Amino acid sequence: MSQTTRIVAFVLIGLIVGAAIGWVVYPMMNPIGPDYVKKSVYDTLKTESDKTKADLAKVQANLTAANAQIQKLLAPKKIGLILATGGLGDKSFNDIAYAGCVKAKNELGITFDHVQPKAIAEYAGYQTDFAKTGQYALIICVGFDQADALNVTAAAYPNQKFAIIDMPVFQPNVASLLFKANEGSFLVGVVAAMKSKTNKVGFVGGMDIPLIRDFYVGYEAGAKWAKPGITVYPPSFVNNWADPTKAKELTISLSELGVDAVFAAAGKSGLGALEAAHQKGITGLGVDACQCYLYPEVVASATKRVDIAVYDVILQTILGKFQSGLYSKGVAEGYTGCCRLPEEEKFWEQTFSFKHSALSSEINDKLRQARDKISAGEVTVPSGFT
Amino acid sequence: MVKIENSMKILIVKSIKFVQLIKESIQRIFPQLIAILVAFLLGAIVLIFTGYNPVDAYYSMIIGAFGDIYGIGQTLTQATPIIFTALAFLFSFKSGLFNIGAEGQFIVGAFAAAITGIYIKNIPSPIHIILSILIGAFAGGVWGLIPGILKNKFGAHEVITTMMLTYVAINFTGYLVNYPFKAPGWVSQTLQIEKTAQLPRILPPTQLSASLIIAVLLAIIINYILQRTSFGYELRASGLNPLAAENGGINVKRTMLYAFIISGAFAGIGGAGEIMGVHYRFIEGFSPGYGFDGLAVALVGGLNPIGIIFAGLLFGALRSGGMLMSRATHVPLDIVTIIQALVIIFVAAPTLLQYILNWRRNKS
Repeated sequence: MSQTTRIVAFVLIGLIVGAAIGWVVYPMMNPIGPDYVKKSVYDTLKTESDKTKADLAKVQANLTAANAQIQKLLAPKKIGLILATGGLGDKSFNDIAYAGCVKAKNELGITFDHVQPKAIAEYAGYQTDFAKTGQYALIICVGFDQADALNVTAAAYPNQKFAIIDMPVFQPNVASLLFKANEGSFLVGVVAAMKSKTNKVGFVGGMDIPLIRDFYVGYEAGAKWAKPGITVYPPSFVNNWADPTKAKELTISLSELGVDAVFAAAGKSGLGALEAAHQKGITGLGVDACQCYLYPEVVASATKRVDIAVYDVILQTILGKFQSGLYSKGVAEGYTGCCRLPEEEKFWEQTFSFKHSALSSEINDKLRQARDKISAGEVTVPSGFT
Repeated sequence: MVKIENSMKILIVKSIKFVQLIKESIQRIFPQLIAILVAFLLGAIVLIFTGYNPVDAYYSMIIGAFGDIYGIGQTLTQATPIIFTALAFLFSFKSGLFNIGAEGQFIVGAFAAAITGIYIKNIPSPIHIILSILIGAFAGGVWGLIPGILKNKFGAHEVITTMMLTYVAINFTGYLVNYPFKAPGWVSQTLQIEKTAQLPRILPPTQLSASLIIAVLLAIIINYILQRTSFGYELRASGLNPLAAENGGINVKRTMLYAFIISGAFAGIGGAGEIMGVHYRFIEGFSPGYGFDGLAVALVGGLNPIGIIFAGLLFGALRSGGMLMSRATHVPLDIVTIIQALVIIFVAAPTLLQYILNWRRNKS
């Protein structure tokens, strides 16, 4: 063998051996990157990383969905408000319901659209007009006289949520917000009894119906609770919601009997009763909203906090907890009360921009005591609905 | 050849006449169109000054009135009673009378029809419907007859008596619906009328009822009576010049009485249609002043029965479009009243409009 042949043979053998070693070793090495790892290790890592990536994608998808959900919840909810025929500026239900919506707008970030129908016959049109858009998370109908129209509209739009103030409507998509008027009346009964010097108090009602009897029995119970020996005259009825003159005459004849505190629950007629109280210089007690701005003699009013009810139902709706059905709430829930309670006084003075005349601390204490006892269930106020 | 030429000639003459007719009718309604346009422009200025966007407001008004089936139905529903009361006013006006009490006759007719619908039971639907409408017309006619008698016997001016009787009607029906005929519950309304007395709804789910068809038919009939019958001629003659009519052998007093009765009956049918087609019961205060709108619509419609249909549509559209406008843009509904008032002012005072137009022309 020549020298050259030997070198060539060695190189060939070397190459073959090198290739053989490479053939065996190479598959065990990770071909990528500067840090070689074993293929098996690489494969394990790769599978795990793929799995993690898949998991991550899943989590991200969930997150996006959740974010969308949150955005949906955070997006300003639209509320529709259909006021009663009296319209804004009535210093009663309409103004207070509106105030409740404004509060919800400021605190809950909702937006609301309101309309002021001028006649009962227009309710159905407005309700349908709101409902057919499907934009409103909730449509609030203020006032008992919307009930007939709402019964029809709610049935026609079963997916639209409605709330009605002060009247039960039995539909699966309507929440009826009712007020235990007897409990608020109890509180003004307490004030009437404490204010009375003759120990005789009276009551003027709109009509002799259970709804108004409910005010009377609460008032009577409150007066007797505050002053056990007091005489509560039987109720005088105007038999009309809009006859202030007759209510005034009834109140004057009561005052001639020696009554020196009169509670009027008679709609517009009640204004006549309060005017008579002003003329005769006796204590007048208002109803529904704070009516103390009318005359200084009107020292307290039994209130229906429509604003709180409206705010509550909006809150429940945007939390997705809207429930249809009847909600009858009273003093404990803050739905009814008396405008002289410390938690209410400011609200009314701001809403109607006036100042209450001062009450003696004795009366204030008694009033708060009555509120606490009713809230705690220690005093049960009788009801006029039997 | 000659034949063809002749027929061509006739065709050309006819088409020229047709074009002229269109031209004339456009010229006739031109002042009304301008009045409406100017009223909307001034309304826009009011909107700007009160801090609203007139484009948004008018846009939502148009969408509300014509945007969908419901809007169109609502527009037509609102237009129907106004067309009736406008026809009532027109009929008396053509006879030289100012019956501005269509509101009262409308309400009385509505109440009478409601009572007929509630307390007559178990008769076939078409008969019940016709009976209710006739009784509504009768009640409206009686309510129209009273000022007629007062005028003929005592010379009491009908502007005062018809107006006063409107308040009597509102309060009298208010009493009836609060006491003898009140349905159980808190709302001042009667029971629902029987199914047999309800007019069919012609565009569900809207409240539009067959009452609209009656209104349009009535307008066509009135047009015919006034233009083509001797009775219509007597009416117009006593309206234009009572003395001359009397000399010409027309019993003016009797004609006037008829005009009062028929005018009241038209308003009464409108009221009946509103109860039987829309509300199905009499509700206190159900009419937001349809009778008074009727007076305005008669003027805007150029005191022409067919014009009244279109003017009624305009007022109906304003009412129904106003609903969406007040909900969506928070513009108070009162702007609708302002626009209506402006339309009326410019229609009723064409010289004022002429003056404004001339002023603009002189300027440019």
